[in-house]
Amino acid sequence: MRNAVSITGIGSICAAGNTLDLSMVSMYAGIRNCSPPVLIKSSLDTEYPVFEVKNLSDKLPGSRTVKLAWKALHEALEQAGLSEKELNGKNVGVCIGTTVGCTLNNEAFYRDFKAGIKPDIKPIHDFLSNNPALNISKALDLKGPVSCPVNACASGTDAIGIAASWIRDGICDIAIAGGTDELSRITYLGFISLLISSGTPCRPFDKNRNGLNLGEGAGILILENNKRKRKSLGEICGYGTCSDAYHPTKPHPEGKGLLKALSMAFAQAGISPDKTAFINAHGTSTPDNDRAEGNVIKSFFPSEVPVFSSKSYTGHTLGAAGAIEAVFSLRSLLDGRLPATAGFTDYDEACGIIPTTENIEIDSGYAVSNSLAFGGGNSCLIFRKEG
Amino acid sequence: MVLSVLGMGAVSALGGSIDEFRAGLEGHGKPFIEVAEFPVYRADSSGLQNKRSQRALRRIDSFTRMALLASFDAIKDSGIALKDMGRTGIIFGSAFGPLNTTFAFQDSLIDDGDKCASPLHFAASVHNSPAAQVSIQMGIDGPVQTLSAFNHTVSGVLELARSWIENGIVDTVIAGAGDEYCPLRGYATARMLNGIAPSGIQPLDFDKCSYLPGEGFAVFILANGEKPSKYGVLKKTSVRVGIDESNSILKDGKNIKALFLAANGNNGEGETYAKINAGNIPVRAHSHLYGAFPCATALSIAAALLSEENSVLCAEYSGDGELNLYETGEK
Amino acid sequence: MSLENDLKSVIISGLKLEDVSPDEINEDTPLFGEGLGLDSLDAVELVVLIKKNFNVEIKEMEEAKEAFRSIKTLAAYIRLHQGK
Repeated sequence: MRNAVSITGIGSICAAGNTLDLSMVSMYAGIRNCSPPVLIKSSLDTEYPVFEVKNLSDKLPGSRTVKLAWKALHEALEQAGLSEKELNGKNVGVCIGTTVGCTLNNEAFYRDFKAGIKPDIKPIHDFLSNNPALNISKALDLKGPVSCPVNACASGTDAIGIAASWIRDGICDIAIAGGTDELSRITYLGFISLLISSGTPCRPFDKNRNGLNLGEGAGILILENNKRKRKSLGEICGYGTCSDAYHPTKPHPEGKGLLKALSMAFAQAGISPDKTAFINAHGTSTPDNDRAEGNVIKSFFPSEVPVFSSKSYTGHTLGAAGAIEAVFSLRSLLDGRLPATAGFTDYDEACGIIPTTENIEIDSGYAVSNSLAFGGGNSCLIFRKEG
Repeated sequence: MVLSVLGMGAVSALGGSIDEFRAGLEGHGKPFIEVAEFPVYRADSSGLQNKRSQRALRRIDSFTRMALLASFDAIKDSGIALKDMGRTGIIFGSAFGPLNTTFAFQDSLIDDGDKCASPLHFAASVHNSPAAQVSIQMGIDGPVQTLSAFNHTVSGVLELARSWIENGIVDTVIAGAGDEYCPLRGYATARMLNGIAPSGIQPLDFDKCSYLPGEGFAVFILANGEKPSKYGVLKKTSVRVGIDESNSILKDGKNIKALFLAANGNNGEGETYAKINAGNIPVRAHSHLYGAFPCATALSIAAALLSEENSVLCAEYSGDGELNLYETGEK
Repeated sequence: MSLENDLKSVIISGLKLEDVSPDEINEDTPLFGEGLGLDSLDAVELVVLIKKNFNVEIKEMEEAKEAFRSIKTLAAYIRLHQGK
């Protein structure tokens, strides 16, 4: 008998709010904090709006990406009733996804190196100590497995799926799972160069959507088997991941891999798609993503299942996205309430999706969260709330 | 569960195939060491041109070329056609990812300005680019994952492969790990060593700093331990084991015939390797043949699977005086 | 050297099409799909190559679609917008 995977604590930080409570308040109120970047300067003629986190404490350790993870972790641990100290020396796993946090993209350092200035190599040492999963595992002196999925924009979802398999397989009793990413000039300019960044706040599934807005943040979940007998908030019931084997940046037009990933997740959960309370879509607001994902949702789920894109409040937080969306999904199940998707006004037949246009009540059932990634990765998680 | 190793591929300074890697281990063939600012072990992926057309490779960068070549090599080595491998997944690991493309993207900003940021380089700079390209080029539409956690990368890859196979998610995993060289790594190494280049890595001289950077990629074709295997099996992976515990594993492991260390001339890590008590069994290390890089542990495990001693313990420094242990065994 | 020939060599080197020689590209050869076989990722790189080499900025892909049909249409687009 494999262990059930309980979630005993959740935390998040993003432009919608520096805590999960604050994020839910602003989402239910329809407030979007999307504006030109403060921390990123460029020589482009136009500024592209982003979802930036404000007032992140300097006292947290590590790079901005690592700080974001710590902030969300503190919130999740508190809810789980765990102190950092009591985790010391224990078989506790850490699985945190990222994209920026694994990349040696200190531009100032590289500029100096390139210019032959022979810069001090402190940025290399910093890089080596800022892998988010290792940083947390080391600081808390944990003895469990440690891993950092870097599956582009699906990393956060995959981290939770992998950590859940650790609990299910009995590899560790507790796992810290999630994703984290800071806004960076590299990703900012990269997404603009791909012509998939929008100059206005994003409009997931809208007919006139014209791209994504980048964001930053972190989402952390505390996963456990039942050993500690802590009150569970909910359960991870299914996880699926599958590649399109199609193109480096474009999703498969019929969402081949996403369909397989959903089938895998539902098979693991042992339920049928009609038990879905809502879908937290990847919903980036790029023309290609929303069309491919919309077609899959239409064919896989009953038409009445509500679709929400939290990226309309957080921007696309890359490696953090799947984790923040997992945290929001469980919280919506617990609140019995799902926010309106901001920015949607005009129905697009090519997507065939009308996302939530007002806050709606959710009675029961399972939440599904999708992530699609560069490289053709597709990953899905299924949650239910306790009771 | 144990995993059968059906085939292996290795791209390293010893050449672009597992056969050249084996020959190098046996003392036939020398590693290719390029001397630029600092000596560096360079891998040779040119063999890929015989396997794929120039058109198919046009957007494939140096890092992904190593991964692709090692994957083709591993499948060929297994003697099993991909279509006969059943449901197949890919799990790759890298500490640094596609470094040269990461910096090529920054070059586009620095040389030509923010408006000329290169989308091609940006798209290929993601760490999952090699796994994605192997999936695209080979048509593997199963689960595909990439992990990156410095000295915990290889253990993560093998552990996830076990989980996928044990839980019936796939039948076969193309599991691999590697890192590539870039001039910035050479510069950083030179700075760390105060510009004095060691004459060559002496991995078993634990007190001495003889570190030289390298690059390479190893791939394992893994399946359920029931399957007939070419190289025996990968048994348990024990992560973050203290010295006392590893010594007792070695002492109790009556069948363990040799100890292979991922030691690479870094005397900081050497302190821990020096405390291992291997008793009477031989202790080997091979980084003097392929250089130092975090995922070189994958090459070390490949060497263990190739060795005549059928039951080998591999130890990798995992940080803070601890080790990750990998055990190979006879089928 | 004509703009058309410049364009061909920029495309061949910038999009790593070294298996194609400039003579093989007819001025009416479709750049995308059948023809030269470029895809959407090449299209966005082409936008940058044109900015970098000909100082013509393309801000919306919709606007570029017509221009990206062939060497001939692309050269015409560049002539029209250069120096603006």
